[in-house]
Amino acid sequence: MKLNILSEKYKGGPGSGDFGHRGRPGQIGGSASRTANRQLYLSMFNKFEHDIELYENRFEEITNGKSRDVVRFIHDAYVFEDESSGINTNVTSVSLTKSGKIRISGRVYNAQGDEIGTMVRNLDNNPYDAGIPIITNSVLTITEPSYIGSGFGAKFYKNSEELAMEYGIEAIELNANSEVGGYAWARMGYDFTDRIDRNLIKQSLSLEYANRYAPAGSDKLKVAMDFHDKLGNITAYEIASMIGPDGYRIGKYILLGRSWKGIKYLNPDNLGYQAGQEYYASKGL
Amino acid sequence: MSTEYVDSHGNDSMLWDDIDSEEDDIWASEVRTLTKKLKIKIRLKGGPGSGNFSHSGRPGLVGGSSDSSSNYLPKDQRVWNGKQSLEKRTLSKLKTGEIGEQVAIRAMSKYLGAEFSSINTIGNNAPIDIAGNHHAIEVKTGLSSNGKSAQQWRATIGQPGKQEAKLLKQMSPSEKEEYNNYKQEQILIRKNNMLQKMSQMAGTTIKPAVVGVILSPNGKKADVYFIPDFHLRLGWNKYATEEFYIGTLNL
Repeated sequence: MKLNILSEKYKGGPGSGDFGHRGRPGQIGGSASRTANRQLYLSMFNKFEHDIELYENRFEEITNGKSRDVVRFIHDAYVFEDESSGINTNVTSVSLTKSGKIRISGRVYNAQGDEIGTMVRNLDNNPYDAGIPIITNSVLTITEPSYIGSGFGAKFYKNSEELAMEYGIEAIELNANSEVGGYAWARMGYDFTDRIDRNLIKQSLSLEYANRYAPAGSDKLKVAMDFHDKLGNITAYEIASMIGPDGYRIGKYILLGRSWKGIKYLNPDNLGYQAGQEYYASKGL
Repeated sequence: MSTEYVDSHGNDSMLWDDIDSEEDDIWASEVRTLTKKLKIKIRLKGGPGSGNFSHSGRPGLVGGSSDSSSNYLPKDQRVWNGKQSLEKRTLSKLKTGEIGEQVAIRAMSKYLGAEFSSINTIGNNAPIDIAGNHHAIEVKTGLSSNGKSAQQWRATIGQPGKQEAKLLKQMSPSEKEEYNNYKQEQILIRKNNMLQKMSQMAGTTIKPAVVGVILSPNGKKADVYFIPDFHLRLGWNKYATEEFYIGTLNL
């Protein structure tokens, strides 16, 4: 594809507006000017290691024919700037792996342009879930304490989820890690991918429930087993929101420090998606 | 004051400063409400195996997915005979409530011919306890060893919070009575609001009812009564009677 065709294609449309941040050309306002958009998309093109048509074909396959516009998707989802903190991300390269994943690598910068983190995302079909189009959030690292509470994370995730839905991606997968990730990702609406993770956490939850709430003199193991049965296929976000009879956040403290593989379906009817929206709402987004 | 945590074991490793924040509690509360609403919706629609997807069935005759464990005992094995049982109580208040809810689910599944389930998540005292087949039901459980003054099913106000307790201490007996009446009215309002929301979600009228359960003091047997509508107080002398009696279950 020639560069001038690409630049025409990504000029932006009515409502793309301008000013400040990059927004979504042709859809959601505010953003760089049309001329600037053109430049941004052109710069994106240079980040692809091979012929862009290869990526467009693969993106079309991944999204089951729903989208072909991989450059625009990557740009709008992952070249992001949080206006209030100035923290921004940029895509540094896009490659096609041997197994057919579109791999997007990027960096995170502070308002002064210093690098403060890295990012890797993979686009693929999930062979274990009916081949649905999926993004795997492989790496996003920002561990500089001075950026705590900037609000960047929630805005970044919300924006990339919205864009992913728009382009036909149906789910996002990640590993919820120990320390706080085991709870924090559940709060964002992720559920267990693996039933073994679900069962292990259900067992811990049931034992903790029995330890705390079994009536004195009762058979704690039986109380735990009965409670475990009642939990059924409980989701990670339901566990995260759970409280005990005394108001103790029993589910939260079980999930903190746990590692599990998580998935979030980008479907407004999905309860996990709604739980994630509640999280964003709690952040005023 | 929030605590700072770092999730730093590979993959998406983010800083979270809001793990112990007020926002976090708000999120949890909103999600519990969301989950409850969804479950009500699913249950009111009926599901696989419920044997009853949109009609109310014919109680005692047609439909139902209950198993043989819901079979009732002969009437002469009823727990409540109008007099306080002298058997020693072995169940805690919490356990009594839990058993009562399970009994009600079993009994309603048989009586109304569809699956019923709890809509209480642990510790979250929903205004309605179980739902299914176009019915929203409050479960009230008592023990046959209850003394005369406790031979009733009633809506409980719940323990006052610190500030409320402080206020209550300053009230005169008549003010206290008035205040408690007001709080009881609020209970009914909450239940009816919930009922209205359930009806809206189901697109049809949801009928309110109380299932009264009287347990033997050892929790091995239970009488079940079905009383239409919501009530603040149901004395056993008037309501634990043949008219409302459904059956006795072996537990």
